[in-house]
Amino acid sequence: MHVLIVEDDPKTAALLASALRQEEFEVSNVADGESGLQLALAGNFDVLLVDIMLPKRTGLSLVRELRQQGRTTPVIMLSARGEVEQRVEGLNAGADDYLPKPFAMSELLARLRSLLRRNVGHKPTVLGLADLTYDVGTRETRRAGKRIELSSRESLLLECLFRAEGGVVSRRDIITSVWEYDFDPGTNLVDVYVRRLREKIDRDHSPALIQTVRGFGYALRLQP
Amino acid sequence: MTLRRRISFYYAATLSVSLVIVAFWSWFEFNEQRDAALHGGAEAAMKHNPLVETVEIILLGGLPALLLGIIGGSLLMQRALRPIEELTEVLETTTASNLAEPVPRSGNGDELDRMTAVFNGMKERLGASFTQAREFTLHASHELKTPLTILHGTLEQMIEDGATPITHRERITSMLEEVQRLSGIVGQLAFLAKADAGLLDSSRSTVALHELVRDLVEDLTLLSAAQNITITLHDCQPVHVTGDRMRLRQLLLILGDNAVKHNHKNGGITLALHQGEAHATFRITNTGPALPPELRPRVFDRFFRGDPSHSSTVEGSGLGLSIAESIAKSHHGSLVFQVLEDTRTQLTLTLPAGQK
Repeated sequence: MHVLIVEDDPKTAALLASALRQEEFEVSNVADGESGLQLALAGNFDVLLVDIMLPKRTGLSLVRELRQQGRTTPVIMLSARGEVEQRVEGLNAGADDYLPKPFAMSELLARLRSLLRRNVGHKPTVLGLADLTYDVGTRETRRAGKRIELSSRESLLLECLFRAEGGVVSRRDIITSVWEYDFDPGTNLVDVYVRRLREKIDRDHSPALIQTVRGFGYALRLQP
Repeated sequence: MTLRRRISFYYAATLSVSLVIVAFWSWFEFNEQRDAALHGGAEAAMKHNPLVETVEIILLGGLPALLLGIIGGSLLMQRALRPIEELTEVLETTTASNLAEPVPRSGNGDELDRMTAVFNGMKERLGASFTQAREFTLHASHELKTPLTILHGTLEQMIEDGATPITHRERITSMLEEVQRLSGIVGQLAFLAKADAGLLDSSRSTVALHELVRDLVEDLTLLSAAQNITITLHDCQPVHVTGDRMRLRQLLLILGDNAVKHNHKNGGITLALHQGEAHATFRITNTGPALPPELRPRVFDRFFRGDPSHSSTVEGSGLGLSIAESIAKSHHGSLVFQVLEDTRTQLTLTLPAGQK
């Protein structure tokens, strides 16, 4: 997997590169929009990470030009301006995802993985882990064959954890996909819902599947 | 013409007209007396009592002159002072939001025109410092985001790095949590700066407020379960308002969360939504320690966290209610804080009613 990072702040770029290399991605780096575009058009990248505020050519213009040239390489925009309009503008320009700063590396990696998966285009309808199954279409949830009743938000939460395939999901990502909030609710809403989901899924069964990863978020996986 | 000259001129004009009236009656009386002396001799002239003559002059000349002075004077003064009234009316409409528009000047160079110029200068400086404070917050919050990302990422890597000793990992995790808290505050400040600059009204559509209130009740039931708080939805009539759905959800969640955080064990929260003639009203009332009266006017202040002795137990940045208020204002509504007679705390949100 080859990632092109277009970011003018050297520290952010270095951090992104090192985090991605650790996850065994191949990484290339440029600091301005124009060379970013040239490289993206010339090279064969699997995904692009593009900052919005860039010298010579903005990130938005880069993506627009790339799409006009008929390239469908997935793009994640990064920006210090996390406002809704900026997000819409980025997605309208042709970006596939938008990550407002400050973000966690784990969050970026999760988005990257889900983007690459989406690109492969294969989505199972029944998700499963150990003896837990979840049907995406009907929202039917079973543990050890026994049916579990979940509220609509609890189902969405479970689905969101499933989709990360064992990866850590940040509170912000949970808020975005379950509540569709574009803001930080400043409450422990997520923790409360996770606790409730855990009671329904893990209390009478073992092994426990919902893991708390302190400082990061939650993951649905078997205890490592 | 300066104001002083205009007033002096009007004063002199009124005085002159009064003088002419008095002079005319005096002339008339003297003439009469002279005619009487010429035709009837001294005896006839003596019939005219000087006292009566003076009273006659006062009654027939002085009184009308006095009346004219009062009526004419007040009319003229009103005219002379009208520019002051006009200026006062304009000044009364000055608020923080129209500091950029100068008060129109008469341009005639009088004292009021000069005062308007001085006021406009003051307004401009005030506006500039308002803008500066706003832009400072906006820029500061933007500038902080990149370093926060780097800090967060570096700490994440340190935790995942196998070479980091377990004892350090615990401390780094708590640092990471603080960075997240800081990121949250920075985000809220950016939001408030945007609201101050009047940039909040991004999307407007018809929002079914009653649905948002029902969603809120669902979330509150879970949020308050640990404290065993009873949630009561008193009334939830179908209410539609025009606004930004996301911001209204944010506003309701802030109010709900506030009612849970400032509550006590086994307490209660009641919610009610009403549709009035021109307004939709949402009330949320919670039990819990009431805010001391001297602190009540400050509830919407930024970073205000109530009684300092309680603040350590209550989580939050102290920006929630300011954000809620700015969302209400951006929807042309209002948010009012009250402590009821039974010491319960009540927040009332009023929004202009939209089309059904």
